[in-house]
Amino acid sequence: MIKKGPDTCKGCYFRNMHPAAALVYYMSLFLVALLFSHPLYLTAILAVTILAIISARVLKFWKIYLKFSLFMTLMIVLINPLVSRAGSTVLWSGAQIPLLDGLIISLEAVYFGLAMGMRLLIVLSIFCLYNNTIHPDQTLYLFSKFTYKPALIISLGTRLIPRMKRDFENIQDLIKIRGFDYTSLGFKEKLALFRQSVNALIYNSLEGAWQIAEAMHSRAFGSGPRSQYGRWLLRPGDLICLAGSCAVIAVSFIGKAVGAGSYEYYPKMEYIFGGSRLLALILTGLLIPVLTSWGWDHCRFLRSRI
Amino acid sequence: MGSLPLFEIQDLTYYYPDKQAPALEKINLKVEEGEFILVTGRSGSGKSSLARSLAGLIPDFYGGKIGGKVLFKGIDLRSMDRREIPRNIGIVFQDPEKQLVMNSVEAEVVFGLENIGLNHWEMARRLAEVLGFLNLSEIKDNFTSSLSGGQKQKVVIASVLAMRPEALILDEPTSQLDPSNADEILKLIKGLNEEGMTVFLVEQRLERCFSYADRIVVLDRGRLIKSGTPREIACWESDNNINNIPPVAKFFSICKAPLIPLDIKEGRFFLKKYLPGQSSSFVCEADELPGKQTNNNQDVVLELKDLWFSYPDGKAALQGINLTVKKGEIVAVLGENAAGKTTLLKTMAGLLKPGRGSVKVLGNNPNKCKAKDVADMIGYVPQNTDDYFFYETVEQEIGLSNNISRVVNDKLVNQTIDDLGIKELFQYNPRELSAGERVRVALASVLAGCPALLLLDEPTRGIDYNLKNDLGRLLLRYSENGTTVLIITNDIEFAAEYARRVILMFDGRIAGDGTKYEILGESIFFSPQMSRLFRGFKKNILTVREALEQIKFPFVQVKSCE
Repeated sequence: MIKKGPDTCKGCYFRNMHPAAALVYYMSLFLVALLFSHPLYLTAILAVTILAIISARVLKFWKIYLKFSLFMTLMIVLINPLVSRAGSTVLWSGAQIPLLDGLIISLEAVYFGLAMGMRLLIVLSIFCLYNNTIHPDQTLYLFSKFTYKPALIISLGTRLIPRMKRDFENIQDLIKIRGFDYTSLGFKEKLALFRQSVNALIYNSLEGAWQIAEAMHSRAFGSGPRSQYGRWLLRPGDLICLAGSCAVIAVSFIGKAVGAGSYEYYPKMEYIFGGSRLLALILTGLLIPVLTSWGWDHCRFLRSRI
Repeated sequence: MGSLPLFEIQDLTYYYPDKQAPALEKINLKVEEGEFILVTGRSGSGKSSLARSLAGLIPDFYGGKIGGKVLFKGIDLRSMDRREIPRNIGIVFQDPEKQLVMNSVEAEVVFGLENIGLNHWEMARRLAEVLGFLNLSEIKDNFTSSLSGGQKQKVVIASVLAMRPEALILDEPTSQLDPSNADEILKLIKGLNEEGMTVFLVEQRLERCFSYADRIVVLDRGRLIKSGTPREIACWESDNNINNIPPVAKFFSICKAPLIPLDIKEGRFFLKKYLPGQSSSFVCEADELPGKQTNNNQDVVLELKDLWFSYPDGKAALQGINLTVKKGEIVAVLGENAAGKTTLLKTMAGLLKPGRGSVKVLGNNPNKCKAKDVADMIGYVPQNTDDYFFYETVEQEIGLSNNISRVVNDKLVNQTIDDLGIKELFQYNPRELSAGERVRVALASVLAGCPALLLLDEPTRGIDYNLKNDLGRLLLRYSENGTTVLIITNDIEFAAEYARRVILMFDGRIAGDGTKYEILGESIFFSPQMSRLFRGFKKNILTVREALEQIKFPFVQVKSCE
């Protein structure tokens, strides 16, 4: 099993950020990626996200996401030009294909596909960052003030799913070693055997749930009002990052409202380097955690201050 | 007037919901503050139920019918505030995986403290204390799922200790651990007791904790049948022919030693007194290695050649394994957790496909055989028998194997069913059975297929001495009838008693392979109590039986318990 991020990126700044600051930062990245489809904006946000990934020392986990994203980008780049007929710079037109009413591949459609692929990569990269730098207990801590029990159920559920998967694999192994081969069975027999293995899995899960409930009960869970151990300090660095991320969110909404940073791919692509002042502002806010992380890693003085 | 005992159990009788027979019957027991109580008894004797009743979980969590009282410092547990019980009594269960609630070590430790509503600074103080005390500070931010079994159990103990209970109840806390991790946990528990904490430990593997106890309580079918000091219990069990004591105490109690040593240190001190030097006239001369006879003429059942296996994360779990096992051999595979033992067994069973090398069972590659043919050749009982059962009754489970076997209802199989006491469980749901009974049912369903190769993964986990002996004798009988048996076990005493050959694994490789005398007799950590006892006095003694055959003491026949 691949060791998850929080154990491998121990000591890095992103891991030590206050969960609220980290979560708002990731939200700001996500929001900017969704609000703007300008290729320059998307390229810049992707660059910032990659820098954050490097700073958070989760590059090796990101590679897994990257493979999937590249595959999906390729699919979008291939499919979008086939279905989009809005571009005016025709690269190739050819055979009549049923349902597609004549194949026309335009430069704009290819670029648009690339931009959407890039957006997908950004979103998945943010998810990779979140997944590998924020501990599930931190998320539980953040949301438990409002909804502790549902948050705990989600937290327990996310932990139990991999265990159920492992149990199901074990059950399938035992079915095999006891002489049953799905491939040699008829549909009804297959269904019956599958039902038996699901029954076994449910039994196991219920037993496991009972044991966890007993352990929780023995540690006074549900015995009355509970307190919360806030182990994450809100430090100056967190405040700066939080302020930067909030500013990015605000500026992005305002910019979007006034039409800054908008971009049209069709019918002809606009000039790519327009509206870069807004982008500079956004980048300044988004780069704060990356720069803070650099200070944390390389400068003892800064580390003591943030 | 003396002070009140910490616990006082008065006429405790308890029935689980929908059960006709009581799990506990008329139990009376007093536990003084600071005592170390060890609870032992056969599987299903009510040990865990007693532990749960002391922790207030029975009947509060389980329901059912209860009679009598459990008093904590004179107060009935049932009248105590639910929040007060965990602050005074902590309980640790068998499987650490099924007690961990949170994802990180730190969050796990503070979970109970949050539940009792402590303020931040009090929690921070307790967290720092307990993590420091148990040496867990380094891993406080780690995911609990990334910890080893021993570390997980330590985290559970830490989370209970953080509540600062006066009594710690432990229900077989080492049953899932390898010998070194189990030893670490037991030493930790002993250390806590020496600091003044009252300990109530339920255990099946008594070798390492017998001498720690101030008092041992023996249960049988829900009744408390004996309570006394370890020496008294050793003497009583020996007189009553009960085999539930560790080998050192058992040996000296059979020899009617004037004072029964409880651990190896005491035993060796005793030997020095009575066996001065290796050439003592009390020692029968028989130092050549037993079990060394070659059996080259026998058929090869299992052959592994340069076997490699890697998991998807790249970890090489098996590295160049070469192994030949012949017909009728009983081989024990030992090694610390994550040494590759279970992976090896699964590869032999054809459940995992080797990256390199070959596996041959009776000349066939199990990966290329049909499932039915593999089931005819190989019987496999997994570590967790919970996964094993698919049917509603024991009878159906055993029938399942009969449907696919080459030989059905053979005389040996019927005898096995009788020996294992499975017939009386035929109409039960296998999931309602105790751990020991589940192992027996799983074993019976596998043996019903008369496989040539029997692969057992930790079959003695959670079962008592008597069942272990029954299992061992059964395996010997099958081996005499030509079945080859390969057992993964952390139970060194079981391996010493019943295996003929021992394989020691480390980091995916075979670190040792030889007769049990070569491997267990010369090992420091993977050696049975009798071997450690006689080291330097006499070679090739691994079991009580061998010691009794080779050592003659000139004791006056005085019983120590009188």
